[in-house]
Amino acid sequence: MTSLWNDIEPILWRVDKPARYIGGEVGSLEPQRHEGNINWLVAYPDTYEIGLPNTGLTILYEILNDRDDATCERTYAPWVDMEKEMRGAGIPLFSVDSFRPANSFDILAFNVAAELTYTNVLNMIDLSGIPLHAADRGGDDTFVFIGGHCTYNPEPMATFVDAAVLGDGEEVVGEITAVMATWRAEGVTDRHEMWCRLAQIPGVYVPGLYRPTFEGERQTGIEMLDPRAPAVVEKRTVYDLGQWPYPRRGLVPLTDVVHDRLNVEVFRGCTRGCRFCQAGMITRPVRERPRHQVVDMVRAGMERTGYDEVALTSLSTADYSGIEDVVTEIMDPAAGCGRVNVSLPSLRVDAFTVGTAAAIQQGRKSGLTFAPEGGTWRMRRVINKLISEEDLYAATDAAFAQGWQRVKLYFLIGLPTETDEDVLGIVELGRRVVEIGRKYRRSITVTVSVGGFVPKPQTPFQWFGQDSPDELQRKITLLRDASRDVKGLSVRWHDPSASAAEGVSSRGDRRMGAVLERVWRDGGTFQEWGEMFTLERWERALEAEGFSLASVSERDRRRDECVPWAHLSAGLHEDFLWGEWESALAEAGTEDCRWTPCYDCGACTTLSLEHHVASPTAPAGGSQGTGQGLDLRTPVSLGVKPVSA
Amino acid sequence: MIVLPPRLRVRYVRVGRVRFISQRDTARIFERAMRRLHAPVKYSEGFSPHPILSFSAALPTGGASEAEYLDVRFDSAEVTDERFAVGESSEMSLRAFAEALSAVLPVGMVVTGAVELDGSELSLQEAVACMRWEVDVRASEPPTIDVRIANLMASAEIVVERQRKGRPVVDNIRENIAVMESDATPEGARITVDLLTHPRGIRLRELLTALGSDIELLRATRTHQWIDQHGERYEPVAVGTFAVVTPPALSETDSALTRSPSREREQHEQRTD
Ligand code: SF4
Repeated sequence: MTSLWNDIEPILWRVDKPARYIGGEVGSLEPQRHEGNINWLVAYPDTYEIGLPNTGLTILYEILNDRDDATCERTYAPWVDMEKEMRGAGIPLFSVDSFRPANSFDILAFNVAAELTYTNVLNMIDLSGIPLHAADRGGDDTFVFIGGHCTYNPEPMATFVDAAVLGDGEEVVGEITAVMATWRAEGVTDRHEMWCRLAQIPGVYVPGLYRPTFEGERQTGIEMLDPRAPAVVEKRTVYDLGQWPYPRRGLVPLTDVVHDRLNVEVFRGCTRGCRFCQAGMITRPVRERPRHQVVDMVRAGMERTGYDEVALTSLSTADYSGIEDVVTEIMDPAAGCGRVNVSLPSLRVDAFTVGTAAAIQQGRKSGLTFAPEGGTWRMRRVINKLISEEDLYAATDAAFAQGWQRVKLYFLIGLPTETDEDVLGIVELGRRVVEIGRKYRRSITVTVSVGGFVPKPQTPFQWFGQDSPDELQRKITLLRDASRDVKGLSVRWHDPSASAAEGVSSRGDRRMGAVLERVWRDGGTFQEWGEMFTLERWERALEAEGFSLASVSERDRRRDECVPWAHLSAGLHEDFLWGEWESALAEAGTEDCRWTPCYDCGACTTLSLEHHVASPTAPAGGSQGTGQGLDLRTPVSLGVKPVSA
Repeated sequence: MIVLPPRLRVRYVRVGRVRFISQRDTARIFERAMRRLHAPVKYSEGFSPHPILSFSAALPTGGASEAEYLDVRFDSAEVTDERFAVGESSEMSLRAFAEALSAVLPVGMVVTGAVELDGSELSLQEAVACMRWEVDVRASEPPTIDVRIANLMASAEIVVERQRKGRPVVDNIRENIAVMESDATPEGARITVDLLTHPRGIRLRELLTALGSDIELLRATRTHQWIDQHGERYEPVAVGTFAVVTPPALSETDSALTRSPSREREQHEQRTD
């Protein structure tokens, strides 16, 4: 299939940020197709700026292109102006590597990391000219896959995809390639047969082989339509990250993107056990990258890319065994990493790590972010984020003492058992932190940022009905009124109606597919972007399909109800999740199993694994359960050059 | 070993799909390319040191160019790789540097010349007086492009509205247009235009709007930039030129950085007298 470049080129003059559509990044490839190859097009259903830095996609891009039997190219969601030009000129979705049309690939594989991007997936399938519904695709049509964190409840997307892949992708993409190559060699053209073969691969869920049953607003069960469909699909887990030192080439964009720096993943998984956190639940156990490999990857990465900053990424980077030694080694000129700035996103911050951060950082200190998540100690016991007031105050005191002048505090509202007292506790914490800061400087500022909680599948809060947008708005008003006369404290919040729409896909069943389709047909793409979002569009779509926010996202599930993801497993025992739910109601904490005995959540035991850590001792500063852990979400810069504010 | 001079003027092209990046993107790409190369680029002082690179007038996003320029400074204190040194350069070193730099630039960006500066030169933005564009356009309505150009060139004033310091102002862009011609092409026409950059530049879009609102821009390439001297124009670096400064007979006492542009211009003229 030929390149569409000559058709694309003239429209690029007319669109905003045309560099989104030209590829050509350092590290990119224009794979040659060979007879018999399985050709993958990996897609990120949001703008190029957000999708390009996605490490997961980059890893698959490289692993597949390293194989002899596959090629892999990339695509991203065209922004509204570009989509209009493309539709006007009859240009389908295309690869930014070779500009081949999407439907000339064997597989179109989306990384879905956020529910509000689902309508973009629909739009991109449609732009490709591939039939929107999996049931309408024939033997020759491109296969549509999804992978990523959202696949732990793929049911709202079930009618649009051929398969959803659960867990780590490194190994399974090769197995999928091999299965497809085999059926091609055998001349299989029957889609159902192909689906059955895919379903034999561990971690691959083929929704078309299952039929859920419903009664009113509830799902009552799930039937298998073919004996070859497994009763439960288990996620895939790469046990030894040391075997997968990817990305090896990386992608350095030619234009502006988010997180524009070298990213080196230092570990996967997190066992702090915050009960609201889906990422922490579905990625267990903890698997650390060997220390020498981290340093090697930084050295090689800096050399290859010309970046001046590296981020050591994970769900909680300060928990990496020997994090300080790694940072010290990277910054040591003898290590050969060059003039490098180290940033640690999602750094747990306590008095101890603040001290370390300050000791390494030279120059201006911009903002530090802490995430207590709950406004009172009671609330934090419910969510198992066991940070005491004293610890938070000590940490912020240390930050101000070290010269930081802006502190940001992250909270969730709409959590289970939350009272107005818990909500007002957020302002109280903020007020105290302002007081602490003012001991050092009058000009300090404290920002409290609140988001509406959306319960996620495969977590202890999966049964909990989320707050209505009105209730969230009421709590925001409470916060705003209470903080009005606290000088130096500002309160920011996420749009509560976006949380409501997110909830529709988060825990919705297969019938939400029709709702998503209506939202999309009604013009609802890029729903993560405030200017593109209205809740009315979602409410209209729900109503047309006989649902409401009350019946989907705000409804509590009963334990005996069949949740739409009951046949999909992240390795966690259902009774572990339920036990954690009961502990939440009892306001009882659960410790981090890296340094305390295993409580058999199922993650290791189901998969016959254990934690894979570079050092057996707990990091300084304490672990979850000791009441000393704090999390930092946004990067703190440790290095010769501060990141500008 | 590549010996780099303290100051170097580089000529490069930006063609093909990479032309859809912005000028800011172009600058960042050069910074990263220099780092990948381990070139001993001089860094600025201060809280957030950055490599000292200065470019000729911004190339619009989507515009191709065969004649882009960049001034770069090197510093022996920044040498981290034994392949490089800073000092008395040679044509061979400059050629080797151009080749190495091209190798770490994206496809479509290639270094085509480099000359050492002695530090007394005007900055590129000040020095470049005129540039030539070749623009492929299509008009959906009559009259033809050559008629429109004739009308435009015959008028004394072409007024455009611009924003300056947040206020709307009116400028006459007729003064910017030195020569404008066109040839018919199967698609429409190819316009060749020489635009003057002083006292104020002109955007390609403004020029095309003046030709008519139905004009569709297909391709645009900046083919030349010239420095004007006593009515004679020459390119800051000609294609394929790699040259070092012959050691000056007289030593310059004042620094180019502290010199005011007008004073610099005076000196420049004195020297070339
Ligand atoms: S199985 Fe045990 S050790 Fe593994 S994550 Fe669960 S509780 Fe921790």
